[in-house]
Amino acid sequence: MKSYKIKVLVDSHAGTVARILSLFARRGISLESINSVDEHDSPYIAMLLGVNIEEDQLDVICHQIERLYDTVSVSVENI
Amino acid sequence: MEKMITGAYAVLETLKRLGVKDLFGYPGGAVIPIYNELYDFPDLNHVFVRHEQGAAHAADGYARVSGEIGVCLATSGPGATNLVTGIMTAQMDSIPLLAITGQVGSHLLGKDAFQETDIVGITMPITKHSFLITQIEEIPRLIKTAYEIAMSGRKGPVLVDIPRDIQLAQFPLKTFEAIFECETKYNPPQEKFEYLSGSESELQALLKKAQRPVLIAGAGVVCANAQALLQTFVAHYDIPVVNTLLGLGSIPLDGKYGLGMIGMHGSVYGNFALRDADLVIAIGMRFDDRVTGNPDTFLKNARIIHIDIDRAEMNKNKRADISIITSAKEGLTYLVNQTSKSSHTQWIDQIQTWKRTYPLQPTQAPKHLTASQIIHFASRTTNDDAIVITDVGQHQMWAAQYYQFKKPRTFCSSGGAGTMGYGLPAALGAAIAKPDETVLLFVGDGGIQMTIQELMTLKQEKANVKVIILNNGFLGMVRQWQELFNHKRYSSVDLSLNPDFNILADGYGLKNITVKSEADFIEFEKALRSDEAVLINCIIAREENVFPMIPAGLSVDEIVIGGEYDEKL
Repeated sequence: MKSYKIKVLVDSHAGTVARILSLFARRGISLESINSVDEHDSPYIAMLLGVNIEEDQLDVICHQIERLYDTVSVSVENI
Repeated sequence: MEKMITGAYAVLETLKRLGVKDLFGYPGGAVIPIYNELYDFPDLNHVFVRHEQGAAHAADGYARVSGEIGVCLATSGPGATNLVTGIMTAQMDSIPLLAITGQVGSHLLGKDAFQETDIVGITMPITKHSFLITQIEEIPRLIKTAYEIAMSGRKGPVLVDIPRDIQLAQFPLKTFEAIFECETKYNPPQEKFEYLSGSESELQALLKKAQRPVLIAGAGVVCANAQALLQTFVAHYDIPVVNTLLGLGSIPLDGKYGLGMIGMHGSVYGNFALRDADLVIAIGMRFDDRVTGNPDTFLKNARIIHIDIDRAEMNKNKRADISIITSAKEGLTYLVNQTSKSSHTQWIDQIQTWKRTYPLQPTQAPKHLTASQIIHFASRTTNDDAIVITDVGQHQMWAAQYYQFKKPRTFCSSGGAGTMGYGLPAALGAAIAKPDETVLLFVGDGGIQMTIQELMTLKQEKANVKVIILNNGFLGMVRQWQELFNHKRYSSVDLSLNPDFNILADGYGLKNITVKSEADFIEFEKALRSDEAVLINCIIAREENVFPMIPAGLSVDEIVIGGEYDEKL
């Protein structure tokens, strides 16, 4: 298990956050932190999710976030 | 004077302009405005089912056999939640479905109003997306977007929830048309060809070196209409093909290459081929646990090339040596170009030897017919050419084993979700989509009772479905597991107190027969060849098990081949 920060850029609508967080909840994963900010000069919102998970799980979850309708991009930082 | 239309009219007009011809639904308070407008839409054939779950499964069956989107319609609250099982079933099998639900008036949202439920929230994890429409002007754009989401990339269900006041509101037809003509903001996921792992030179090396290759064709091959390309590649590279449950029909099973279903109840020869393969090319499949058993020992001797349209499937259940993100169609085209004409005669001969040693042949019981005898007979009588729908359980596996599929989109079953009650309404949907084809439904005496009310819809729609109940008086698959893994401690599986299905069919006004022995096969054949719905109540051996079987979580080395059925009951 390792800690990561997942940055998700979203085109935010009602339910966007719930949709992303449910991908963690269904696996019984509790987030360590969550932040959300407006992106300057962009219509999108950046979410920063802190999470402690296995690398394999991380890849699959990131791909599943990527394919959501509201997602613009996903990137990951090691902590 | 400017022509005004209601939101409800806009919903139906949008569907019509998207090419929708049939929809399945059940009215209720929050969709009365839509049903009111439907009265004036003769081009939209609305099939009035008897339960909303039936609407969702019927739309699913319609989508699977036609390749078009399936549309279902329900009211708010319980109407909407009754769709949920059907939506989840479609999600698990990547079926394009558009579910439209009525919602309480906007001013009542969040106030626990009569028949209010948060259906958008409820369906979030089981849809590709769900929309709550908040303004009348959004109707054409969001329904069009929902259609595009459902039909693009890896297909799936989308829900659109429309408050009653927005259905009743009015706006100019010109505004509707202008919005409908605009492109949606939806950017479908890039379907461009990409190596996620491995490279072209590595792929070529694997293909060149392989002496015992096997191709797994999954539902993605059927969904992409790639069966012709599959057959081209298979003949070109001389590679045997096994199928996942939902990949059946992508290659004929009566030819040299098609080995049928693999996995828990797959053929011995198909599973042995995978066990001994040195290269496996997996296309449009996701290494589901019913296929892999123990993923650590699955394909332990093989290098793996995985081709799938969904990036999220890569390395999810099984790590591949080479992962390529693309559709089955593009992937197969690419493979044809990457390979020279090859021959794997020795390997194919070995598989043929296994096929002769461990054939799938109908079993016999001393006192009763067996399910495999009935399915085998139905397959021969329909020239292996019917559309076959199953419910879920033992009969589902027997149908997959014994019906000799030869065309894509001729097999519909709830694969990922395993939804009992799916079969009857899905068969209705298939018959609406393909009214000129023979539709066979194989269903258990347990599953038929979960959605039996749709027999009335079959009658109403004059849908030519042969409802073949494989009646063993048990919840057969659970009973089989209790026999094999719980020391025969049968718990809540005995259905010997069933209704009389023939009297029920009479009540619904449907023709019906009972098949108890081979002497009844003459009547059975007549029923299969008739041009109307018939309920065929087949009384079969009670405690027959589905074999072969790889017990859950184990490997092909632990396969139980089965033997003669010693009938006790």
